[in-house]
Amino acid sequence: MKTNEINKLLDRYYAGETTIEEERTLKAYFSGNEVAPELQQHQGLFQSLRGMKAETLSADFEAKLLQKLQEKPQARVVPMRQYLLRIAAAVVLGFGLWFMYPKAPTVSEPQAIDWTAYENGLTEEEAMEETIAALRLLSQKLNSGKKKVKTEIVNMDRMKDPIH
Amino acid sequence: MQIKEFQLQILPYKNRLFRTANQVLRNTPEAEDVVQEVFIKLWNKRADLVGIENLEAWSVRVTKNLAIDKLRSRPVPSSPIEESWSVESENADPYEQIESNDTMGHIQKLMSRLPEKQRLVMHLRDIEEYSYQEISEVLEIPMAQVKVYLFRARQSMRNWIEQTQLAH
Repeated sequence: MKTNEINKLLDRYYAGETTIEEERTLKAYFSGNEVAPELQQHQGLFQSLRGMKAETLSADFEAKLLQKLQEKPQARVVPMRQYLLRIAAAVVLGFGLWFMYPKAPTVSEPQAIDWTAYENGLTEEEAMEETIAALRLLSQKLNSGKKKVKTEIVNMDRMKDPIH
Repeated sequence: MQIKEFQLQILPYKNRLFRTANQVLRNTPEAEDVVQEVFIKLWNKRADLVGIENLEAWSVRVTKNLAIDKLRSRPVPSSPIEESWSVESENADPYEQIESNDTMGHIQKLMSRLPEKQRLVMHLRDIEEYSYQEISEVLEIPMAQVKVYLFRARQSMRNWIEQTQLAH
């Protein structure tokens, strides 16, 4: 590559505008033997960046690590109190769920209704009289309610008109 | 996930994780400890790893966070930074101390003078060759911020390198 091109690339590198590929080109150029004298001051940087990538862990690191990873972890000692707390929590949770969910309705066989229990031996006329009496009573009760409402409406109208 | 799968899928990131931890801590044994801790965490949570989209970026992020925690919990701040690069002088001016033949040590020393975020962005881009998107995921910052940090980091490096040269 021409010195001029490297120079331009170098400017772009220091300005943070180069791609990884262009940066590799610079590293390769400065690792070679044909570096232009005016660019030699930058040689140390690019050679060093390449060199730093070759720094590695000690050779036995991986073997030691793998041995460590395969060691069985010590069983955890759980205090008795912690066990009791766990059991208590499970019991409380169980009861909670039991109360929370509705019980399934118990389905029983339909039984025949014994209507004789509701019969009181009245004749048809007597039954009619009883019914009329019951309806009259209901009517009276409803009328007394109506009267009360009417009185209240009159009272409210008076309250609305303070001069009255 | 069995140990064999873990070994094939996760362990290949080990050197990346190590370099990232070392970029923060500047201390090889401490960085190794962090990587070991990260792998133990990943192994213990292996059942949850299936849903993670970019496991590599995620692992680097965990490593970076753990390394920063470790750095902040150090009782005496940052004097080991200079020692671990085996650069002789403690001179505050980076342009004056270039007697070392160790070019990489010198560049590492210059990088160590960058603010933490700038240094990490430069590390992830120029050494690990991550995309802006990946760097943004690892560092949990917007992509525009990644570009700003990278620009500043490289500008500082350029200034220091050129002034070092002039001093000679």
